[in-house]
Amino acid sequence: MIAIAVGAPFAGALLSTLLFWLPSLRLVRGVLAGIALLLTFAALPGMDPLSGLFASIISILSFLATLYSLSIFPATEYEDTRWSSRPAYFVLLGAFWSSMLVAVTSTSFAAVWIGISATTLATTFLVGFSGGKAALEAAWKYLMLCSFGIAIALIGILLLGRAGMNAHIAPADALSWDALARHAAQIRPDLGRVALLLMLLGFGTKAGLVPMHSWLPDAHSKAPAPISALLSGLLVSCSLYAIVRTQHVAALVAPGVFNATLLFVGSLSILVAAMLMLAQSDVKRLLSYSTVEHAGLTAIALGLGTPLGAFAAIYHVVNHAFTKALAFLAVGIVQHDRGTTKIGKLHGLWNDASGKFFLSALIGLMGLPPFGIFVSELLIVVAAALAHAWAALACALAGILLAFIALVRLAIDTESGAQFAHLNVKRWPAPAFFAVGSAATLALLLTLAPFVPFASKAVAAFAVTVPH
Amino acid sequence: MVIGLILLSAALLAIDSRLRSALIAYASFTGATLLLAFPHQPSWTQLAFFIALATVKLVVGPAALILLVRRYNVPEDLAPSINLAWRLLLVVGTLLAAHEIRQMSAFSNVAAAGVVFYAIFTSMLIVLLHRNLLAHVIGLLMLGSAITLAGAVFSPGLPGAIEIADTFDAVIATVVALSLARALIAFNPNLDVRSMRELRG
Repeated sequence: MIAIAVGAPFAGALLSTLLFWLPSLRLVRGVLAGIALLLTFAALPGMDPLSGLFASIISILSFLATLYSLSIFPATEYEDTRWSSRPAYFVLLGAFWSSMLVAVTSTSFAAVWIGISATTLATTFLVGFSGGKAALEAAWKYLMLCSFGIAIALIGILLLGRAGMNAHIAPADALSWDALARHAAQIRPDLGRVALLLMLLGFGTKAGLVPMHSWLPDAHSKAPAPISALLSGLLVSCSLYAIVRTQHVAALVAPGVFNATLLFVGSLSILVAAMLMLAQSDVKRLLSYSTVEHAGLTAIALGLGTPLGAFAAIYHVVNHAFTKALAFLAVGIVQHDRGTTKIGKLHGLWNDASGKFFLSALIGLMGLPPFGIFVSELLIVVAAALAHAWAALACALAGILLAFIALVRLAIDTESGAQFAHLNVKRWPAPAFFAVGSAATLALLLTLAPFVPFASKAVAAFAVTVPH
Repeated sequence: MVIGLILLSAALLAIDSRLRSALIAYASFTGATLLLAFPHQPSWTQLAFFIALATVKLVVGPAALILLVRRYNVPEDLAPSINLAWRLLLVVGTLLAAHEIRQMSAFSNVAAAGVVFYAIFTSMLIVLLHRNLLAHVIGLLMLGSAITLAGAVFSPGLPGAIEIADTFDAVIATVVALSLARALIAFNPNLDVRSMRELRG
């Protein structure tokens, strides 16, 4: 069932491409994406809680991005479309969705690596999809940095496999995190430490952690809006998922150095990203740096090495995924209506619906109630204080404050003022507003997640299994 | 002999500035790594993946590069960003760094660990030291070969997943990177990284 659910998005995209002659192709694409979403839910009982949680987020947001994409394609007048074609876009989107599912539903590091590596295949073309010079340059930078990063992760995985086989794990299981955790006592700490740190470096590159982050603002800001939403909301989450699984082994083999590295890169990421947020003049670029900031915050929470920290980290990843997706989807509508994402050229957004959605996303990213990020950031701060990680806590608080200032300034600059003079507002198709509205509703409802036993079960189940 | 060939061809790749000689060095390097990585008593699946990997790395990749150069008149000069003396010095530095890593207790019983890290560092050097994007593609292809070597040296007994991963890397480098390079020619006919200044800050 899991294999069917994983393959469904890509198979659906291919099928809908073959059915190009149908008059209601958009409806077919939407229905097939809906079936892929339902198949993921049907496969949930076969997955462990953490995999199930991530698979659900991936399928919900990818479904919403597909619906949104069905609406934006008639409206590409601001894009250079030389290199683009609709069928290729949806096939790549389906491949992206499926490869993320491969990464989060497997039980071995090799399969996680293959899934994350496969996302590079699909997303490089999606980042450069508009065919403009800047988009292609962003795609090149993304390909180069992420390929080297992910190759480093593979070297780490190979070394971990060696360490596993040396610890008398059968070769077929040598890359399974459960088998590695069971045999942790027999794993050579020196080899294990090098392997796990290389994996952290590699997956950290794809998660956009400083100092391997420089591709992220370019790629996320130059991709089409629904792809930016998935890159920031999901791809970074998938990479953080890989880091969480790596930590599962590291907690038994080399907890000290792994967690200390996570705290260090997390602190560095949040500070660097928050400072760069203050200097941005483009909305999508500012939101991309905000992604680095939130990845840093998640790394700090994981690096604490406590159950509360792990709980807060996973909860924060989920909150960030929905809120950031909402922000990029709303910006996509703003960009379409106004033809720009330059902060200096945007004003009076409050006067239309997309601006209101965008403002709600900004409030969520600021860490204000009633959005889930408010609760998860609070939990991270409490977890850091309880773990006496004062330096990381200071960096986190400073980063949150700087990011808050940057986002408040962005909100004031873009939302206030008179309505745009040459507004090209068209009536947006229902699927686009359904996608944005659903992302907003889910981002709001997530505030309640820690207090609803059913919703928090998956996260809690993982948190208590973090070895100490 | 094979290790010597790997060391020499990797050094040539980092130092050289002409596409043709770089491709010859790349083919020697990849051929040598594939020779070391050939599985003992392979199953049919392993053999199929190995052949696919060898074909992509040794035939498809270089052929696609040559085709791109001929069709779009891309300069064959890989445009090194620093002079020869500095490039040589950096290769020697890479060799020393790899030797130091080999001394770490984690690699005490892995004889060829230094060669693996030397190959990985050199592939990064190729990207860092050249301005022509074709050199970056060669660096990416070489990185794939370095990973193949790592698989053979670090974990020779690991089952199929690693072969798939290797093949994937070769596909990313060959298909994706070359497709992007082809698209970039429209804006940047010399494929010079200095012309890629749209994104800053």
